[in-house]
Amino acid sequence: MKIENITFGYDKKKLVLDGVSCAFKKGRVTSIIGPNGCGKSTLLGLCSRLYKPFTGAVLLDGRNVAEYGGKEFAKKAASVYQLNEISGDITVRALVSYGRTPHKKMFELLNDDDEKIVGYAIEKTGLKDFETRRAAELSGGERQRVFLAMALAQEPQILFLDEPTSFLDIYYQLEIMEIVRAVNREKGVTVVMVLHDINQAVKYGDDVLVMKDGRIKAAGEAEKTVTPALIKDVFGVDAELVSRKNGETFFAASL
Amino acid sequence: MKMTAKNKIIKKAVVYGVSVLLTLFLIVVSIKAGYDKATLGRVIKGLFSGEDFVVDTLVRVNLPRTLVALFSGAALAVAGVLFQSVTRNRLADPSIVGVSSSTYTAGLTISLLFPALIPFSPLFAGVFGMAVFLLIFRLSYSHGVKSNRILTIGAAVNAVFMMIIITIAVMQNMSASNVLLSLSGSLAVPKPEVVYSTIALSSVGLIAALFCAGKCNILALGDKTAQGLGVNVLRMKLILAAISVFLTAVAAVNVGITAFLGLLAPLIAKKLLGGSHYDVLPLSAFLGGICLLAADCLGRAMNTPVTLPVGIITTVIGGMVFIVLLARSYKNAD
Ligand SMILES: Nc1ncnc2c1ncn2[C@@H]1O[C@H](COP(=O)(O)OP(=O)(O)OP(=O)(O)O)[C@@H](O)[C@H]1O
Ligand SMILES: [Mg+2]
Repeated sequence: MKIENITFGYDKKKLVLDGVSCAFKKGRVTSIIGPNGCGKSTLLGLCSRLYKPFTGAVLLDGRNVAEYGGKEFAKKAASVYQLNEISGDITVRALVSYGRTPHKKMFELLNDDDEKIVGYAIEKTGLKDFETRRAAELSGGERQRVFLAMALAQEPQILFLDEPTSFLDIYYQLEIMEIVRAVNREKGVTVVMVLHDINQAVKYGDDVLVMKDGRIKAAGEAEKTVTPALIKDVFGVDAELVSRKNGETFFAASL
Repeated sequence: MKMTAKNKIIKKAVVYGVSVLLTLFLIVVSIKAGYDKATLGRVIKGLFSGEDFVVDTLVRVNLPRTLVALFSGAALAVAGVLFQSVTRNRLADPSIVGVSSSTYTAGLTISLLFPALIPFSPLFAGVFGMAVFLLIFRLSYSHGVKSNRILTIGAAVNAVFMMIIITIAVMQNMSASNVLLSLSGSLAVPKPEVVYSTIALSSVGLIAALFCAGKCNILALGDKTAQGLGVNVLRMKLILAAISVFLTAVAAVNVGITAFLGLLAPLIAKKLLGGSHYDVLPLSAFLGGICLLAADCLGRAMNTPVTLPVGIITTVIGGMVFIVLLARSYKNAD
């Protein structure tokens, strides 16, 4: 996916994104990081056609996303948003099955292949035991996994995740990251995710996109791009690269 | 609470079965209404044999009113379901946001100025109601519909139309009690063409609504998720709103502003059979018809000098439920 010189704002006077150009490489995981309110969710919203840019274009497979039909686009791109509501007494499996909607005609029922795909998505996200539970009764973390499962059932080429781990405890955070990585490696799904944890962004992202004040600050391979100097510049905190015994490195930050 | 597939089917069968029986029972009660000399048994027998002169007369007098009540009730209830899908607010109803009063204004204007057009007045009223709704929609729109804004702006619009209706009535020298009666919905002896047009038009709207059940289910997942699944959310909401306004118009020109029915019926339907619109829509239609017909039977049965209009009964009951729900939803939010 390519983003070409986009400007956008929620009202005409105030631009939230000002001349953003970048690309998300096929088959890779890109992490987007940046301070609160810098426009990360807005950028994802533009990529997933929630909003239309004032100028510039978002291209998927070389074609402007605005030209795609609703279902046609939904077959290629799926999103999981920061906040998800569930109303009514729908079961987990039924909710995940909605992911198949873009592949079906109106009134067309799910066939065995669809059920298999839904089953795979449920299995992958560890929801097997929850299948028949009411989705509204789930905890925040379990709920987040349901929406991830729904997005997986869409079988997209590209998956957008907006802070998929923000409400989760550290166990589920890592679990979601592992799921995302597994889906990327097994099915070649391109993943673009907004994360607040810099260490996770670097560890699970092949590439990073660093944003500040509606502009791109840096972009490139994760480990090479994110440096203490960049973190200081973007977030205003002092970060130190620390090595663990097992050879992994991480940033320890302080004010 | 776990429920097996089999239990679910049984529950559905029971709920629909009881609804159908209740509808049939109310039809008989409505046909018999007020005529003490005929027992319910005699009416039923007469209906089947077709040879009982008294029952035939009762049917001729009361059947039109019964049918109009049933179909208008179904239309109002389904209009409510659709409106709640559009606003994603289970306390939204076309009568609260001025759609009912604007369609009623249009209907009233036509009946006063162009009486020849009365059979078509649901169409004119529908178009006018849609225009008003689009205005409310536009004012409530900024990067997605803000459902609370729809409610507040709609309340203001509603107040304006209520004033217009009263102004028209005053200019026409209608007596106060006549205005109140027609506003709160009277079913008194509808003309045959009104009966036919109500049945035909509301059937069209109800069937259109059923076709949208799947889309309503997806919209219930939230605007963003629905968009992500390939639904054109804005277009779908406009279609649903159009059907909702149309159904409201069909009912409003016949039975006036029957407030809160669109709130009550869907609420009970969702409690009984859960959130899928494949169930909520048809069941709400049944319940709406049942409620309105029951209210009308009640109004006729009460020994008041003038038959109590259906609107008053549904508004009093529905209004109380609305207040309780509103209070509860604020409590939950705190
Ligand atoms: N629906 C909206 N209407 C108006 N302004 C908005 C809307 N959503 C976001 N904004 C504004 O746009 C700017 C960017 O918001 P955005 O949600 O993209 O930030 P973000 O980088 O995702 O932040 P966070 O890390 O807090 O999620 C903010 O200044 C915000 O106030
Ligand atoms: Mg955000």
